[in-house]
Amino acid sequence: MREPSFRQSLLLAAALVTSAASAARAADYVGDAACTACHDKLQAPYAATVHGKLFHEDARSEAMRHGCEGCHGPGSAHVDAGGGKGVGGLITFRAEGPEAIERENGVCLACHSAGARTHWDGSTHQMRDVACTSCHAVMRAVSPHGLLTRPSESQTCAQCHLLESSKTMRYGHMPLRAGSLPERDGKMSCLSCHNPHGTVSESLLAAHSINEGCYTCHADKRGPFLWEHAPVPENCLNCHDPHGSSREAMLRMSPPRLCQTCHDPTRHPTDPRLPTNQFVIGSGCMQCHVNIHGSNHPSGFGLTR
Amino acid sequence: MRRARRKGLRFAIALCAAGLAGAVPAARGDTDLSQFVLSGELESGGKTITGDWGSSEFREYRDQQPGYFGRSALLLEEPKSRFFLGFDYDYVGRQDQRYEGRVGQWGRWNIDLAFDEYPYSYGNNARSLYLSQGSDTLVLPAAVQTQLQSLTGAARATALGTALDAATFRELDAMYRTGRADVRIQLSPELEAKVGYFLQNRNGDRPFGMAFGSPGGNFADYVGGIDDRTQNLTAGLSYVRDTWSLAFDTFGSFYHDGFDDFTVANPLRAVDSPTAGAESGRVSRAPDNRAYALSLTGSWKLPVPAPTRVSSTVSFGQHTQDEKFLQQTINQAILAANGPALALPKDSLGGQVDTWLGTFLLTSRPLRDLDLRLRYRYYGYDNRTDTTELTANVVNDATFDSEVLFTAPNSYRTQNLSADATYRLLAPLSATLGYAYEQWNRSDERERIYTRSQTGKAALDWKPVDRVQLRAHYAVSGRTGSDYRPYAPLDQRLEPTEVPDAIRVGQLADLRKYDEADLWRNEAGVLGQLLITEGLDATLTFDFQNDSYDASRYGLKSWQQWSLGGDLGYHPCERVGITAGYTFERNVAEQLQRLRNVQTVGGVSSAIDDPLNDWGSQWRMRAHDVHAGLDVVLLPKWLDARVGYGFQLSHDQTRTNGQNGGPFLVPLDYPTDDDKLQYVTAALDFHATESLTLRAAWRWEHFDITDFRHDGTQPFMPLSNDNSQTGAVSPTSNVFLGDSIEDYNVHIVGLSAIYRF
Repeated sequence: MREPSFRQSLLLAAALVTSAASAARAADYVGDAACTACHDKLQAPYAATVHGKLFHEDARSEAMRHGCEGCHGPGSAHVDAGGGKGVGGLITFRAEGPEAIERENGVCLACHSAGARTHWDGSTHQMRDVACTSCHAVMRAVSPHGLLTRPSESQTCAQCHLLESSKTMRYGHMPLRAGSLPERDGKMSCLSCHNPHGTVSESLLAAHSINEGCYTCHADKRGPFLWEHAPVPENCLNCHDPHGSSREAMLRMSPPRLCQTCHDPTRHPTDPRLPTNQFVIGSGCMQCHVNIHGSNHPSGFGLTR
Repeated sequence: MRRARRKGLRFAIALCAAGLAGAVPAARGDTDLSQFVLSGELESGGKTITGDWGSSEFREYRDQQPGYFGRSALLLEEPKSRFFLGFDYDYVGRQDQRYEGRVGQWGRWNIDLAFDEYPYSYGNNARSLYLSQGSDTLVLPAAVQTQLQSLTGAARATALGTALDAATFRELDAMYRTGRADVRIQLSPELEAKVGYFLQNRNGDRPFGMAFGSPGGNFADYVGGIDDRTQNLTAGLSYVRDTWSLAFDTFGSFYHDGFDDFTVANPLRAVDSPTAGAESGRVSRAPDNRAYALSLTGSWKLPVPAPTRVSSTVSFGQHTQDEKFLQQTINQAILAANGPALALPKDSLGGQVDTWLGTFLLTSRPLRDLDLRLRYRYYGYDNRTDTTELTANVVNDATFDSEVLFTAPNSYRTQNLSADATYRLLAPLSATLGYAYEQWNRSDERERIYTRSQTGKAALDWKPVDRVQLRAHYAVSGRTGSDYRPYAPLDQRLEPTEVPDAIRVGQLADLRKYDEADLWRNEAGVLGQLLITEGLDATLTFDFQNDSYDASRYGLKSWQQWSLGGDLGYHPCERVGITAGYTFERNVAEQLQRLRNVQTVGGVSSAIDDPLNDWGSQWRMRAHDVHAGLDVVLLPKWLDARVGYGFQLSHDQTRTNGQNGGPFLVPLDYPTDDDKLQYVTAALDFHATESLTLRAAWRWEHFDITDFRHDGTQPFMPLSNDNSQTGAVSPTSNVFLGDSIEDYNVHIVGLSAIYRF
């Protein structure tokens, strides 16, 4: 039989990549020994991962029983062709285009569709073709938990969300500066509030609403109060930037201007105030309106009690 | 099952034996302890800190102290049964210590336990005379009290100022302590159960304020206690099959505040007066409250030719609060004169909010290259608390007011409907077009009964190969709504006969609160990730958002925000890694207000609404964030080095201008606020053996802040009520804490040994 030309080989490889599923069906399983015969360098780091510990040894599904091929697909075509990048229709997790990403994500979701991934379908990340492997490193343990591609959750998210990561460096911030500033806090992570795999709320928030997420730790603001400050139960983000700001309490703007955007009944709220004024310095309006999130005092209608 | 139990017992015995024997492994990497494998690392060392590190900012969320430090991340496993036991700790004995333990069987079950604590620092240079008498009563020292009571007027204020100047500095620190317990059991490949518990205690002190005068002016800041506890319980069960799934989740939350109220002595009044003020004021603290929620989520892949999936979540929750009310006032003189009028209609609120969530999501692929998504979300916040009628009230424990007030429990519901279509134009290129509709319905207390937003959006995603992508999106949206009723809050809170008087001094009719105002929003974003050459990759982001409130004649007029970011990673060879990044953000917000003094003609008070009194304000903020790092393997297998640099600068300014040359003094711009953080890190790792690394590390941190709101404040500021209209300064009796955030400049040098198992 005549050897295929280089061009024919390329076409063949491309065809294999783009029709991996059908190719996979056509191929047979060859076992891990065949894989590690060539890919031996991957074996040790992979064995240290949770997947490495579970596959074969505690196989609870067909995929797990097949080891490497459980995720990459049957390897006989790849082996028979002598190996090589893109040869044999293997699923390579290289995230090369939407179709490949969907196929690769499908492999992961075959086992990981429950729990936090319930709302993956239709989520922002799924719709924008984010690959599981953009955030997760399956073949080696980079992070202590979650098989992430970066050492921490915050660093993983910061690969794309540069502005949000940058905001954590500001004066008013939550304790989630891990990674970007070693020996800083790192007591929280992006996942304290968000579920990147999809949720029922906006901005991939894990809670059912913005406020319910904030109340997880700030339950003192939950009320209900005798005297409500109406925008407070609607949206904490009306006044705060949770990723960080250059103002205390992560306020979007400093008082009194923040308060003056909405309040101008007569007397003190309508005055621009000089920079040395009692309504500007210190905590500004909150020096008197100390229960700004709501008051349970019978005389607390002005939120001063 | 029995076999697994036996293995678990053997695992526990082996673990104890290993601990008792102090097993020392011989080689780097997983360490074999008979049938068990120990992995992870231990670090132990010491550090010294020099420089100026007294600033509370240096201690925020961490406890950097000279001396010993240690951390661990250890994992003991039994490979055959896949039992594992992990234990991590950081900063033992410090105020930012963390411990985490976990035990389980990979893929079957796990129990995670964690304890974490950290300080939250508000400042450490506050000055206050108050002493705690009991936990929630703050009094002045007897000597100060005696002296102040013997004086009146200006002499009393002067004495107070002198005493405050001599007051010692107070810490404004709170400790956050959290504990977590999570249990997850994979009962079968399809069925998973999980239970979680979260506990957060906050203890310490923070700044509070107490108003004694009314309205505005004459207040005293004080150091009040924090002592609260939040407990959250979660439990869930999920069942997943090939074509459908079902999940049930429950949530319970319980909040308890150790303080019901604070009673704070009025430094400038020794006795209660029915008209001139109280000898002390009392403020309520956050009421104890509870919340729970039940949620059911299901998904189903429909048996139709086109791959189609629907999912839905339904959830019901409740927030309740029934803490006993405080009295209307502790001013005994007012109570004696107006006791019956100040009687409360009930002892507690009986507050109840029902929350409802309903979502529906349909995703489908009717054509090979076409994805459709239809999403609907309903969220209801239904405040079912009864309206409370209060026949009188007391303003700041100082002024009796016979006006009848009604509370206005606030409810709202939001509905979101969106539809998106994504078409794969080319193999690596997708285009998305979408439409979104959002409606808010609010209760009568708010100015608009409903607002409606419509958004059109488009996105392009190009992802030809791994680590190369270009994403761009643009959205434009418009929000309108029902008639804006500027006096709706007054209608709800006052008796109808009182409303006309209140309107005359109420909100400016043309001001629009920005969360309800008509809004025109444009937003765009670009994310690019490029693999320039093998070893060199770059990420670029650009985001822009412009909010225009053109229909708002007064209030917030516009808010523009844009940012630019870039990250670079370069690995020219295996031994060298370079990272660098820069992010810039800019915000500009403009608002227009009107100064509205009160005039009284014929006994009727009304606002002076003169366009000449309009004034504008522009807030500008910009922030830079730079970071760079270099990792070098100096001697392969022996010596590694790392250096890093970071710089963050925020610059914040408010400019103010009189629009029409009104009769008042020209408003002044506010001074610029800056905060700047720089750090340099350097570390050298010497790998003495395959298991043992000796590390020398140095870190320099410099923080510099200019905050005009705090930098110039003194504990006592009797001249802090300067008038922007006349320039005159009115005497007040304001007591500040005089605290400010201080700069710091520190060097931290550490030596440690790291043992890897």
